Amino acid sequence: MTSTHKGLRNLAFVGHPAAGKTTLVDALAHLCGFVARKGSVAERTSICDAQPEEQDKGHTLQAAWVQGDARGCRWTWIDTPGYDDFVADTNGAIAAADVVVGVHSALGRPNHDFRRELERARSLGKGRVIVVTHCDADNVDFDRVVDELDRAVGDLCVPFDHPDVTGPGFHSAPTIFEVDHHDWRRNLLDRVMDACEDEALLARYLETGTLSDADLHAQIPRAIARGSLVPILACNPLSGVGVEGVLAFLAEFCPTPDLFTQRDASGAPIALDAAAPLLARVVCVRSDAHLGKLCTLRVLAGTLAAGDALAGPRSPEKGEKPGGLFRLLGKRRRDAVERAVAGEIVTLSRLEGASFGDAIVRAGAVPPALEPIAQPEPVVSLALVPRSRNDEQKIGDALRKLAQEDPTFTFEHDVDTHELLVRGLTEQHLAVAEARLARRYGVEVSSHPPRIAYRETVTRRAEGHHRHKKQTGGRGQFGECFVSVRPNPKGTGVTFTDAVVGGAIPRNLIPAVEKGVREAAAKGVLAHSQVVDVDLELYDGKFHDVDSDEASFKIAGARAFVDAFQKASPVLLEPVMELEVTIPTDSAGAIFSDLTSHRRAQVFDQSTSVDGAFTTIRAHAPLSLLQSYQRDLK
Amino acid sequence: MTAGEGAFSMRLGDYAPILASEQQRVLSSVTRGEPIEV
Repeated sequence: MTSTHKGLRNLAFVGHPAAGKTTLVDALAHLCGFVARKGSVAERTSICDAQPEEQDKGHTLQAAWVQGDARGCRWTWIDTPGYDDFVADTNGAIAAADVVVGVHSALGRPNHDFRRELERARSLGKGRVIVVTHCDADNVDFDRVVDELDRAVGDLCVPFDHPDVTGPGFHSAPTIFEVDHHDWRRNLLDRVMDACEDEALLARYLETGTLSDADLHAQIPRAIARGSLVPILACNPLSGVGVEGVLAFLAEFCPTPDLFTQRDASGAPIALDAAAPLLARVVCVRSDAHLGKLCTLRVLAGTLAAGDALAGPRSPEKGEKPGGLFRLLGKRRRDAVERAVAGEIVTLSRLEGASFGDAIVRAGAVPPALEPIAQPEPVVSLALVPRSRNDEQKIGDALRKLAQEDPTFTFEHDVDTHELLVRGLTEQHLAVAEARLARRYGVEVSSHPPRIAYRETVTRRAEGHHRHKKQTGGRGQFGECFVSVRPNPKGTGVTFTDAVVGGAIPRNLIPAVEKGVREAAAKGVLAHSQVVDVDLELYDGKFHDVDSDEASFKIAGARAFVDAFQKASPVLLEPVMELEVTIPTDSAGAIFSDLTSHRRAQVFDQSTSVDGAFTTIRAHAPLSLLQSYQRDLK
Repeated sequence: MTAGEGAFSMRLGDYAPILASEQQRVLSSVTRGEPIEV
């Protein structure tokens, strides 16, 4: 097919775990002839779930990009992880796609993650389609499912498929154009005309109350793109019933990139023009054992050709020449391509200077600022200890590669506790990262909950004193300091005031006193935790003409500070977190009670979603009582 | 306490004085050289 944006279909499949996203993408790939044999999650032959960790767990951990040409379209299907532990990839996929397909199992109700992802798609101006799976399960009522989706998504849903039988007899799903369902068709016309910008057509519709099939078909992609219509399709990806209908719908009605307007950070539109200067965005980063770093890009404007020198915000001045340009078939195959035009999604190897979310331009041009792809902050921490010297040498590079792939995974050396900390979204997220460290990079580690980084301060003024005197042959040591400490305003740290008068301590030795005090404050007095918000005043001292030196006054200053600190009613300060919990309203009472009675939380806000299904609680609570909260909540 | 599903996020808000009883427990752990159990 020709490479123009008219044939492009970029879709991200999102939804709750076990809804059938991966199975649906495998079924679509087979139907289009991208693979000779249909992949299966259960048989470990899926083209999407190819990593050992995914096959062991039986669900997707990293987004899979399945691309190919069929039915007159150039397809990109992005199969995303269902668990919110790995939501970073889902967010990248939604940013890359034009249309988000919410895959929903008829066996359950639309859960919080499903709603959040469809809402995220709406807020980013993406089109939305819902595919209902498991329509052949016992006790399934398609009309009930439609009602629940309508309430969850907001009265925009129109079923396009009408399963012949809901329940075990389901074997076909005629479309809204094949069955006479007056309410659904009326609803479809209303939704479609809400987005119509053709005034003549609008006038004709108001006059006649209907549209020709040709007009209706032409307006449906625009209505999906404008967000006024969310079609619902039905299928069973495992048996294949209805999958052909899903593919036919997407080929005919899925909005193409030209129906959406991409914008830069200032809000200025980016023209979808293959002849414009190149602008692309990194939407996924992977580390491949053979090809090194792989960056998947959505081309926003211009044409990207293999061999182009490219530059991003962190690239060297001359830019970089990537190793190759590919289209992916899940995690199993890469096909080299020569170029990609505006609207296409393509993968590059060895673009070392690029990171997730970066704008990429041709070398020599200046990349514009793009709106960042929002990601949640990591909330769970783990301290890692390399098992051997060899592991210690390799762990930094391995963690850097993992963090490149996943913006919600970070690592740092904690200066307070001297631990190597990794942070992620959940314990499972970090457990998978630990498994990848061992499997991919051969780094063995042990892990434990991190120490709490307490702080120390004083609550009242007190004085302290220390005389350091040592005379053991040779030159002696002498220094004496009188100090006072008092609380400082919050956030001011440790301050040092020199109030020595009359030369009680020589001027050249006072910096040594301050150094001693600051070192002691950094080490902590009570619990080896950093001292904060204390003002220390050095107001007197004594020295010896021969024996006094910097080392003596450093020791005297540090010990005088410790003496005063201990007398000034010191307290430990603990980190207090600002937390937000969204739970089904049915559970809100129990969660509220647990927070306030067992976790010393102070709730400062509580709100309920429009349909009352979910409640959000905002509170402050000490970190020490939240370290296992993510796990307890589930 | 099980919500089954939902979302949880948190970020550092501030530092605040620890409860006196907690302080005693933390200081005892430090004195004994043990990891602080939370």
